[in-house]
Amino acid sequence: MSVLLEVRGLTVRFGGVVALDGVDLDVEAGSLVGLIGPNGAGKTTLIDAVCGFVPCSGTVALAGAPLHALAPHERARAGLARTFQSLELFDDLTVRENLLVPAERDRWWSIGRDLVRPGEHDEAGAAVDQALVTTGLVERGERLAIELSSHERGLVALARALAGRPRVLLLDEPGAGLDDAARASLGERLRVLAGTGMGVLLVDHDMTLVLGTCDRVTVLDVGRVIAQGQPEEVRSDPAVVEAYLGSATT
Amino acid sequence: MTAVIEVQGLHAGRGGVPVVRDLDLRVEQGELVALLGPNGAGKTTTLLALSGILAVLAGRAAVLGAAVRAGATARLARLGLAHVPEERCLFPGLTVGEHLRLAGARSRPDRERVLDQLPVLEPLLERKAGLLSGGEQQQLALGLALARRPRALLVDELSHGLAPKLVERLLPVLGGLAHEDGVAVLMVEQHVQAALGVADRAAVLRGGRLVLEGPASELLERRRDLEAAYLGAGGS
Amino acid sequence: MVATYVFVELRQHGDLVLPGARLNLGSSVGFVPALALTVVAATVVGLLAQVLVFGPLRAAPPLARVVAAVELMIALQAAVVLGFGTGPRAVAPILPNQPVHVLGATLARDRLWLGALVVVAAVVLGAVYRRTTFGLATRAASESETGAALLGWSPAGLAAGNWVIAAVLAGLAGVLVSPVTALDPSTYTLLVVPALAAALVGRLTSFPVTVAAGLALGMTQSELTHLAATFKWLPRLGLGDALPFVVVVVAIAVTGSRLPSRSAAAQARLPAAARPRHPTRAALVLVPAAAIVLALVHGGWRVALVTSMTGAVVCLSLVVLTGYVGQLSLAQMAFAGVAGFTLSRLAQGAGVPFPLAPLVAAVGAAALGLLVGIPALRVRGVNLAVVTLAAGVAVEALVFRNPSYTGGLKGSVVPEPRLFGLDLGIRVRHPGQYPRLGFALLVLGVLVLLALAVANLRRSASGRRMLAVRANERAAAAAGVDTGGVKLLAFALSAFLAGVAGTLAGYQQGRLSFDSFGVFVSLGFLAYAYLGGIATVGGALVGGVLVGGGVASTALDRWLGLGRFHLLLSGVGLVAVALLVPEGIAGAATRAVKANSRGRARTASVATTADAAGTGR
Repeated sequence: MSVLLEVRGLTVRFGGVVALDGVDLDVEAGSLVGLIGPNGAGKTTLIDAVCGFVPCSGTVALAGAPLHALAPHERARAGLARTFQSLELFDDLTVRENLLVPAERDRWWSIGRDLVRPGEHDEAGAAVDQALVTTGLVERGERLAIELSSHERGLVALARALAGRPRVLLLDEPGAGLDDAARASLGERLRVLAGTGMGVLLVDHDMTLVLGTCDRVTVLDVGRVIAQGQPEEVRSDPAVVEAYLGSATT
Repeated sequence: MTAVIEVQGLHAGRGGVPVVRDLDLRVEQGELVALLGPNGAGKTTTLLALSGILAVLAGRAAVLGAAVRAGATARLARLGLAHVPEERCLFPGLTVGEHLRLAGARSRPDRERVLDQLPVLEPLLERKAGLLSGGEQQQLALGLALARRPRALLVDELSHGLAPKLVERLLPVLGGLAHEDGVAVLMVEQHVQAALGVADRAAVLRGGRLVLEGPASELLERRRDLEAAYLGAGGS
Repeated sequence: MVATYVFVELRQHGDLVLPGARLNLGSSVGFVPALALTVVAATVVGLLAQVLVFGPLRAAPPLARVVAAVELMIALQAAVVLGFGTGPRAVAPILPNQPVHVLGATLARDRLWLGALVVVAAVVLGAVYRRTTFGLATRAASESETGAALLGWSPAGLAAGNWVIAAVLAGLAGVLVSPVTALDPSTYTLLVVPALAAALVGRLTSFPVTVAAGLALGMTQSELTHLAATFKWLPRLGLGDALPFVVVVVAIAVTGSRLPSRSAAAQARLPAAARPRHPTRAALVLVPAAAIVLALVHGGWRVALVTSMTGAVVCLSLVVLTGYVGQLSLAQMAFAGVAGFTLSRLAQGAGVPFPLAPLVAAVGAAALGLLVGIPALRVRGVNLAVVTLAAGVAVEALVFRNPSYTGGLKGSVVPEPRLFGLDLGIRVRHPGQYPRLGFALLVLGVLVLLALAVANLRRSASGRRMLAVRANERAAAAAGVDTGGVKLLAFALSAFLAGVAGTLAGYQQGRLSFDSFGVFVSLGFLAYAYLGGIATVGGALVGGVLVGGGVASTALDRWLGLGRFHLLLSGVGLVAVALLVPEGIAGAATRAVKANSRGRARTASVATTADAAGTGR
């Protein structure tokens, strides 16, 4: 399998606080990689740094091309899609419009045409249709994002990330606020996506979801990688159990 | 006698979407209760709702005899409720000493009382909170609550950003507040083992609902159930 | 934020001094009681501002708060004009003003007194906010409202206290300065611009830096006046007024960041930008109807309709910028004015023919819009409003008030538009038929084209990107949207639209004078656009109806005889709209219609969700 996303020595400092400390991480094409860790471990910061939202040192490469000189929107157009913990939907756009934003790749000079002949392009429309089908939101396309239930809003966030036809998908707690059944079906969806050759990085607190669906799992604590490997190895790793429950001897 | 913190059928959450559902909880005077559960279970939401920062969507909650509702934060605080929130809510531009003054420790003995418990703050009194390390900030947040001499105390992840040794020293401070000063303490804690070591009772949330509740000593012996609540069923 | 408002208030209470000053003069009340009354009046207004306006708007988006501040200022200014007239008043000296000699220069003593008082005030304020518990609590609340509330300090109470302090200070400053500068409503209100510039330099937090910046700014301004008189190649006027803009831009360039940070708190939403379903169909119905109305009415009413249509174009420019992209501009009339005067030069001076000259003029306005939009890449919300306000003042001072560009008091001539021998001008040879129908139809045609374009924009890829930036800059960037590019594009497009409105105004007036494009006119348009509905084309049309000299104010004047209260009413109305129906009049009307057709149950469920969302924070 070829490595799509390659992170080396990623370090992020906020003032004097080191939020990430030399993290290495690979996401291969067609694989589902889990990233877990207690609160404050630096999981969201890692996604922020990879996507260019916070300044960092170390290297990030997408399919071999370094990303450090690119602005966040350029990284998105290069094939990096992410979701946000708090979803951050475009609340007063319809679901379909939410998805069109990343799907439409034209630049500012399209404004001339847009003032006279609005509408969507076939290619973007097709990508959006596919994302709606993948997430089961076809019926919801014309509803405003803010009118949906929290479960559906989570799916819209996922669909919006997919609509840009990314090569690597970074998901920040897509399972938050979902019930067990919804989480299970989310897991199946993610497996299907990985099956299409996409690389997926899944950050979630739900161990059943992460350990049950991912090919490999990386565990962060206080900005450092404390364990990495197959889900079963990680589950029984004493360092992981201690990070979550505290040591049993105290 | 009614409990200091009393919650019945509470639904609470952000943006009108309940994260916590149908929660019942009581904390009596002089009692230390640990609120446990995996991340995203609704522990922080519960505390935020209790101090009037998040809306109570359904059900009832009362602290120190006053009904809790969104926006009543300052009023509840004046009644004697203190809250060490997850985000600490410090004021980066104010010094440690100014923080303590704002929290009510105006006289020297008041300040000494806090500094006895948290000696690390002593040399930092003139330093701005924004320049403190994470651990120092966390201790300052606790110091603010101590300075206010509360009758009810909510603590959200005291251990967050603290070295384990320090946690082992500070958790008993909370125990002392409850058992010696008669404060009703409700604490959210990630370090289950350590929390159960000092708490009187514990309640475990998962997915916004109460899944396990009982005396701390009893839960300590049911480690397998706890692991299931945290890491999911089907463990080794 | 508290600090922001402490300074934003300055101007309002600069006005408030007037009652006190009048008492002092008119009924020859002694200085001390007059001053006491002034303090009382300032306290009352400060409290009212917090309790009635800013308290309820605490969770509203910054845009709503800025608009409310602007409108409060307009309303107060209008009230002052109604109560005391517009003329400047001379005020008897309050401080001793014998000349003194310092280092070879001769100065009036009151200037030194003023400087000393300001420094003393800064020291006292600094001590209050550093040493007292109230001051500590205020600083605490400005850093974390939740944190302050958790310690038992009510943010609303603290805000009220600070409003009062700010109001009283500004009031006293107004009284003290009144003998030095002429006391008139517009000068006093505009004092806020350099004050805000100084405050931004002090990052809205430091009293000493703010005072130093303020004094330096004032001295540089006087020095520039002196230099301009000495060196012929410098513009004779306006350098001083343009200075705050430069200062503000430098100040923010140093401190701003391109994307908001993760911790930036989520704010309440702007009014919804509903997608027009069938703009062309609506136009097909409305245009003939409007044309018939235009043909049926004459004289004053037709003028009112034309003014409303031009005003609607300005409101459209704000729909693009503020409604779609969420950026705030208090400089729209600067864009309009630049286009108007460029048109005059092109058409009258260089003989460029009709459709080309106004187009080129509007493109010129778009270029200026790009320039003013550059700071928007790094600042947002309240600070951006300050930048554009300073830019508007700078353009007005440097360009519009410069007689060699704009013809001074005589104004600039704009020739009648003609197309293929067709006379589209407003004036007629026979008196009594003014204004001509041809011109009214021309304006209608332009309005319809632009309204359709703006409606199309909402349904296009560019429009979706704009709304994405408005909704959430971080998420937009994550979706591949170049947020900076979108903002610049919106500024340019918006300035173009305002520019078109400026050329229409030029044709309507025939002779343009600079006071049509002052900063206050910009502030007024922001009010009308917000009142009508800032995020929709329909709202812009309603906004056009409301503009000064438009249909609503004509009706108010002719039917109720209340014309002179127009400005006051619109200021008050705006505050009410911002509080009660944030989506504006047009939006509220649409919602009412929809609610009736969809049935009650669904609306109720949406309303509860919205309520819950509103209280969620």
